Amino acid sequence: MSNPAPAARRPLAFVRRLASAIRPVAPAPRSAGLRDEAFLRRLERLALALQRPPTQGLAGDHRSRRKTDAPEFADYRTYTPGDDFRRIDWKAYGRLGTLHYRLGESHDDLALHLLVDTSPSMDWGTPNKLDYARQLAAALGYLGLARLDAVGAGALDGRTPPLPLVRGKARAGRLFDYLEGLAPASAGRPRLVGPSAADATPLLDAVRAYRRGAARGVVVLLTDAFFPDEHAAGLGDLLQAGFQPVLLHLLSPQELAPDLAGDLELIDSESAEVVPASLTPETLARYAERLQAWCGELERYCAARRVPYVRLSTAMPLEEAVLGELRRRRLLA
Amino acid sequence: MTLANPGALWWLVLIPLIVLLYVLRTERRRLPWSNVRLWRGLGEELEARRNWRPPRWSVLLALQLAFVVVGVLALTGPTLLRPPDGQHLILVLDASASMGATDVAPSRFAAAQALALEELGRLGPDDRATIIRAGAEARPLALAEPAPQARAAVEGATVGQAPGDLRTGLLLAGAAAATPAGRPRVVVLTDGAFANAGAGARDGWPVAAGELAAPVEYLTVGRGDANVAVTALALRRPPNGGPTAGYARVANLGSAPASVPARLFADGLPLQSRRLDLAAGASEELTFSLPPGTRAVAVQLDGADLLAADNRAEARAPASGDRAVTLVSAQPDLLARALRALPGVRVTTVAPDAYAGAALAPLVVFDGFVPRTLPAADVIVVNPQPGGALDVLGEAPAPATISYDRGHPLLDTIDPAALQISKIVRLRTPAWASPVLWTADGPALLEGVNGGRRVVILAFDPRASNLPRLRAFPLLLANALDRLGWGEREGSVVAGQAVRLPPNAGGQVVDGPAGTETVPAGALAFADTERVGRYAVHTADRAADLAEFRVSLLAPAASDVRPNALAPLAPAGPIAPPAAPAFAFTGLLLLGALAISTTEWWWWSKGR
Repeated sequence: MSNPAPAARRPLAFVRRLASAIRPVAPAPRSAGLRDEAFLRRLERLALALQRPPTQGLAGDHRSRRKTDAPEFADYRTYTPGDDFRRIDWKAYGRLGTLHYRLGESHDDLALHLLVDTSPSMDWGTPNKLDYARQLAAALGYLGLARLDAVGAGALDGRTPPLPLVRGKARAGRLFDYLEGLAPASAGRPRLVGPSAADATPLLDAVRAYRRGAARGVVVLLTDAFFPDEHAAGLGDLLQAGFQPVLLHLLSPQELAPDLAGDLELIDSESAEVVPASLTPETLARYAERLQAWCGELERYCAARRVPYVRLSTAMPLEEAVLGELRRRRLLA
Repeated sequence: MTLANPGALWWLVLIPLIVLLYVLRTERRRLPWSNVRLWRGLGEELEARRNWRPPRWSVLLALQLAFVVVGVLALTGPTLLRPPDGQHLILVLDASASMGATDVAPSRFAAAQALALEELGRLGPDDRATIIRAGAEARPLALAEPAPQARAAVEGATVGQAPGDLRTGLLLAGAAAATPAGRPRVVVLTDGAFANAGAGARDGWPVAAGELAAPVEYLTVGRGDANVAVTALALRRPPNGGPTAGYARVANLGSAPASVPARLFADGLPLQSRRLDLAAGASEELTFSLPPGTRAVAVQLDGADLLAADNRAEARAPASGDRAVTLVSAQPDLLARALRALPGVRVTTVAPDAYAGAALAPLVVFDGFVPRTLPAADVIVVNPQPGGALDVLGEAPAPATISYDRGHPLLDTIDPAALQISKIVRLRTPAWASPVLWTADGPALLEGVNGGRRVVILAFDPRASNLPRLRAFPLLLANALDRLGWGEREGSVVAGQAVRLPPNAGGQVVDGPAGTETVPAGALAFADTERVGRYAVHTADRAADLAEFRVSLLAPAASDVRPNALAPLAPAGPIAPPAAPAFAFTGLLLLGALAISTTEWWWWSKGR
C-alpha cells in the first residue's frame, strides 16, 4: 500500500532527496539511530513480553498454543540462548560459523500497532517529543519485525492513513519511512485529541478509526497524554475490542522540571491559549506537585485496567529507554 | 564620625526607585509551551495579570539595595574624627595705619610683632599657628604652620598706611579656628584704635560674639595719642574757567593742644606756609587758589607726632583739555559738537579711511564704523556697521517699546522714556556685554569689558532718533566718558581704595611707595594702595607711561591713634573643639560596593 502522506507533508522532500543524491554524504535521517547495526542486533534479542491476543494466520516467533509439526521456513535470525536447539540451521553454521535460528510460519505471531501522537504539543521540547516518539516507535517496530511479528503504525490524528501490517525485517525500511513521514499537526488547528474537542471523545474516534479492520494485537500509544479524560474511552474501547493497549507517556525534560523564572505568558502550542504566570520557586513547586498528581492519576487508571504504563523523559537516550527502561518494566524480555 | 559630603544622601532616593522597578512590571516575556493545562489555575494568574505586584524577597533585590546603600555611604565620605592633640594659635596682626604710631619704639606694629613672636615661642612641636595680617585688606600670611614658618611670616609682615579691615581679619581667624589643626586660640595684637570710630558691634569689637567659633584674646600695644593729621584735601575747577580752588583740613586728634607748621606746595614749589595752633580735638580748614597750570598739590605738616603717614596729603589738580578723545567718523559733526560741549574734553576727529595709522587717545569713539580689531583703548561704538569687530545682523525699523536698566550708571539722571528710535542696528550681543537699554528687536545700548578695555555700544544712529534733541544726549555722553577713558587721575586717592586702571590689554606695572607690582592683562583696577605716596602706571615693557595717581591717608578715623583696652571677646555659646579626621571609610565602602556588584553579577549570571 502506497503512502503519499509523508511526501505531501514534506514539500521539500524531493529537494532533500535530490540534495542527498548530489552530496557525497547523505544527511542523517531523523531515525538514523535506528539504523545502527549494533543497536538493531541487540533489539533482535528482545521480544515483547506482553499478554496479547494471538493473531490468526501467519505464525511468529512467539510460542503458539497451537501445535504444528512441520513449520515452514520463513526467515533467519541470530541464535540467542534459550532458543530451541532443534531450530538451529546447522548447515548455515557449517558455512558461516555462526548460529542462525530458523523462523517458521507455524508459530503464533503478534500484531503490534504503533500509534504516534502527532499533535502540536508533541512537536515541542528538547529533545523533541515527536522525534523521540518516532524513534521509539521505529525501535519497537523493528523489534517486532525481527521477531516476525506483524507490525502496523498510525498517527493519532484521524487523517493520516495507517501503515498496514507488515512482516519481516525486510519491511523495516517501509516502517521507518512511514514513521519519518509523520508530520506534526499544525499549531492552532483543532486537534482531535485534546481539550478543544471536549464534547466528544476524539481519542476514542482516532482509536476506533485505526482499529477498524485492524488485526487484534498490542496497541502501543506514544503520546504526551495531554488530553483531558479521553484516555478512559480510548483505552477502554481498545480493551473491549480485544486489543492490548500500552501507554508510553513521553514528556520532555522542560515539562518535567521547568527551568523558568520571572513573569511569563505561556502560550499553548495547540489552542494558542495564553496563561500569564509569575514563576517563583513556590509556583514551580506547585507545578511539580500537579504534574506528579496528573501522572499518578494516569498511571493508576492504567493499572486498574492492566494497561501497561511507562513514563519516559525524552532526555533519556533511546537505547537506554528501549534496552533499559522498557525491559525493566517487563515490556520487553 | 562625620560625613564629608552629606548631600550625597540624596542618592538614597534610588532605593524606592529600585523597589518600584520590582513592583512594576513593564512587559511579560511570551513563551510558547506544549500545553498549558498544568499551569492553569496555579493561583498566580490574577497577580500575574496586574501591572504591579508586592515586592518579593529576592537576592538580586537585596544585593542591589545593598549596593546603593553602600555606594551612597561611600559617596558621603564618612570619616572618623578624633580631637586634635596640639594647640592652634591664631594670631591676628592689626596692620592698620594707627599701628605705625611711634609711641612704642620703634612702632606699635613692631611691638606687636615682638609679642607675636613671644606667643609663637611658647608653642610645642605639635602645635600649629596661623598668622593673619589685618591691613587694608585682611589676608593670612601663614595657615596652620609649625612655629618656625609662622615666625618667618610674622617677621616679614609690614604695617600699612591705610585703615585696617580688622573685621575680616577676625572672621578669617574664626574660620581658621574651625579647622581641625588643633585646639584653637585666637589672639589679636592691636592698639584697639579701631574702636575709636565707635562702629564696633560690641564693646568696640568689629564683630559680634556669635560670629566667631572661638574665644578671642587680645594683646594691646600703644599708649600715646598725640597726632595731627591732614584729614581732607580737595581741588575744584570752577565751570567758568577761573583758577582752581583748593581745600584742606588739618585736625588735632590728640588729647593735648598742638602747634604745627603747615606748608602748601604746588608742583613741588612752596605756595603757602602757616603755623596752626590746634586745641585737642580741634581742626582747621585751609583754602587756597592754585596758579594756572598747576598739576599737583601737597599739604605737609612738619610737626612731630606719633603717626607720620597722615602728615602729608597730595592731590592732582584738574587740568583743562586732558581728557583726550579720538572720534572716528565720516560724519563727525554731531558727536564732535556734543563731546566738545563736555568740560575738559579734547576731541580729535579721524576719518575711517585714515584710522589705520592714526594716533589714538585713551578713549576712541567709532561712529558708523567698527574696525575688525578694537584698539587698546576704551571704546564707544555708535551705529555699528557690518564688517567690524561686532556681529551685525541687520537693521530693524521703528522698535515699538524701549526697556532699560533704570539703575545703571550710564543712565544716571537720564529718563529714556522720551527716546524715540526710528531704526535700530540688530546686533548679536557679545558674551562680554550686557544690555542697558533694549527693544524687542535687540539691545540699543550695551556696556561691557572686552580684553581689558571698557566698551559702550550705542546700537542706533543718533541722527535717526530724537536723541540729539534731548537733554539726555550730552548726559549720556558724559556718563559714558565718566565710566570710560583714563587720563591722569584727578584729586587724591584715599589709602586702601582701589584705583581704576587705564585700558589694560597687555599687562601693566605699577611703581609705588612699596615697590613695583605687576598687573596682569585684563585687570581693571589696582587695589594695593595701602601706602601713601605717588603711584605710576606703565605698560608691561615700560615703553610708555600710562598714568599716575597720588595716595593719601585722608581718614580721620585711621589717624585717631588713641589706644583702647577691650574686653576679651567670648563666643556666644559652648564650642566643640574641631576634630581631625582619623580614618576615612570611603575606600573601604567602595571596595564593599565593588564586591556587592560582583556578587550581584555572579548571581545574575548563575540564574540565567
